Amino acid sequence: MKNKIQQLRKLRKVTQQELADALSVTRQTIISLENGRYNASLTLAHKAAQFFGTTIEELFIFEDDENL
Amino acid sequence: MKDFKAKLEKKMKLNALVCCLYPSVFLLCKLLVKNQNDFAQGLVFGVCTGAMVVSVYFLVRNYAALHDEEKLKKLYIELTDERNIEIKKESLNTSSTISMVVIALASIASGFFSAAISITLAAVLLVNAVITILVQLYYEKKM
Repeated sequence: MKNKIQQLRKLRKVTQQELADALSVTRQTIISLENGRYNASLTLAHKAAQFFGTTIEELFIFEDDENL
Repeated sequence: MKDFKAKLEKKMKLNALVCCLYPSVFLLCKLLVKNQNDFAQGLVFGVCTGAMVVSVYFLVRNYAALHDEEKLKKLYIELTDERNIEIKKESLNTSSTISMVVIALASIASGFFSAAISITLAAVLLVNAVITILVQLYYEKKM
């Protein structure tokens, strides 16, 4: 699943560590999320969306073939 | 964070209990296996010492975390990070499957030179399979 985390994080001049601390996850989790290697849980997606003041749908790009 | 702190305190008490009980459990085991061979005695000593070393490690780690907010937050993130939990789950799942395949192959291979080893390995495989099914049934009911 693609996401706009890196884009929004850079826009707000937030470091990966600061974002990780705010979401109570490790920096490695943020790196994996940004690289698209890891899909966030609903809870983490909600926390991230709240942090950036957006919605889950805006932050995460769900592709149709992912549920196949 | 309050729940996490309470959980750590509980774990710390349990670890402290293991450490305190170590000398008496060790002596009791020594008495029970005193007529046994050196290997059995060594095994008892090894298991008891191993349990105590692990308990001391967790005791020190949890004590340090409970007395330092920075360390507590670090430990909280380390233990509750969803990616770490997912990695742990996936690696346990994969390693369990690989172990079962390896034991099955070893059981077949050992059958050519020792029936006792082959049957023991087959029994291990069976116990492993039964435990896996029971755990699966438990989680099917729980979730």
